[in-house]
Amino acid sequence: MPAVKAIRAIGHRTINAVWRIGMATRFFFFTLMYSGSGFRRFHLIIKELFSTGVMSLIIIIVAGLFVGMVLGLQGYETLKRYGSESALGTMVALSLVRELGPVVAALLFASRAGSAMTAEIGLMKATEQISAMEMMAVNPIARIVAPRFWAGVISMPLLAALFSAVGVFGGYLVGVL
Amino acid sequence: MSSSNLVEIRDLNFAYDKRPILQGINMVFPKGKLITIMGLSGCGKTTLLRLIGGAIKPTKGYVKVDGQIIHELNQGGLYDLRRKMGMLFQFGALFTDMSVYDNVAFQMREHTDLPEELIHDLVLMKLHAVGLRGTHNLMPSELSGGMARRVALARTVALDPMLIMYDEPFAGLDPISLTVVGDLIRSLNDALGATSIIVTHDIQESLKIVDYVYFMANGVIEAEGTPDEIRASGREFVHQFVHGEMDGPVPFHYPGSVYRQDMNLRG
Repeated sequence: MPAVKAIRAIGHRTINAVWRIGMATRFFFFTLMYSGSGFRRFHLIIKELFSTGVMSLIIIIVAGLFVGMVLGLQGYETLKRYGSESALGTMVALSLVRELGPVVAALLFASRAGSAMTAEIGLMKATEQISAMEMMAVNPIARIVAPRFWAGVISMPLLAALFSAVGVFGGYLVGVL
Repeated sequence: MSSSNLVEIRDLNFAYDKRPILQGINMVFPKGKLITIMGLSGCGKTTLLRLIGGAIKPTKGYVKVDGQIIHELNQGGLYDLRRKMGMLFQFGALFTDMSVYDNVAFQMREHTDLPEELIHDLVLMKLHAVGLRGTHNLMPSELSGGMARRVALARTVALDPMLIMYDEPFAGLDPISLTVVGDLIRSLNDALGATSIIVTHDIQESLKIVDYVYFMANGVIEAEGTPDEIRASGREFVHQFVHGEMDGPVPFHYPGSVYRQDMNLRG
């Protein structure tokens, strides 16, 4: 019966999706719950701030500079038609700070730092390092996940601010020089 | 439970979904003994080790460690018990982002308030016991397979556990490393007064060092005894396993349809 099969498939997918949302929520809840012990190992957060935040600086600065330059160039061409070239700085700054800065910085952060973290934790899982940690009575969420999560929480707004600042500078380069 | 047994397993059953892995297992592990669980790949040996460590829960029966039923413990209780256990994983499972020194110091830093000077001395003593004091500045990626296994052994015994579990400690080792690791397992067990459980299918090396053997096949215990009893065993399965014969109770061919039929031969 194709109809029954189709309904069953829809049900299966729905259950699967709800199950995944539940798992992710539970994981997030545990991350928050064990953050206290994560903060007690503050040196780990510092280490992760370096590998997620500092190591993402290059890509954030380069992308920010070029996004700002493109905004400056395209904005200038349009504003010139209406004789409003003087509003270029405001336009570049507002569009970067309000919209583009946080969104593009978040996408870049997810692709650079997020994928690096996923690969690292995946390798730890495959080589039984996480099982070994559990057998040594150390909670992997407190030791591995929580420091990375909080390093992301701290570094993300700073990177977004830096992206916007460099973008404004890129707009300045095109608009003024 | 007899006070002389550190681990006691009674009527243990375990299934993944509905596929039974272990059925009615009964075992005892007396204090101070080195006991091996042998069997073919996929017969449930590692699952049994995971049940003893509390990583998974049985579907029936229980595992008692130091008088406590493992699956009835909450996370705090389980973690307290695990501090008295050590487990050596198949390929060492060293933390790849830490040096050899930090790997061995890991549990001391996590579970004790010992000053760093004392941790330094303890780490070097543990590494000296496995003959690798000179490697303390190296990273795990700079070690050979046998050396990584020995460092992992030093890390396993870092807090002097009462129970040490070994998951395939001899897999992939050259003959010299094999003997070294085997001797270390025996000598560390005796020096620490610990109880050790080795899961392996390396029959020759393990029979040299252990006190008692459990043979498993298809999720049940097929045979048990001292190494001498196992060597002299007349049971077909044990004989095939010990002598590595191709055919016997464990067939060479995976069950399938009739050969002639598969080849489309008539007559």
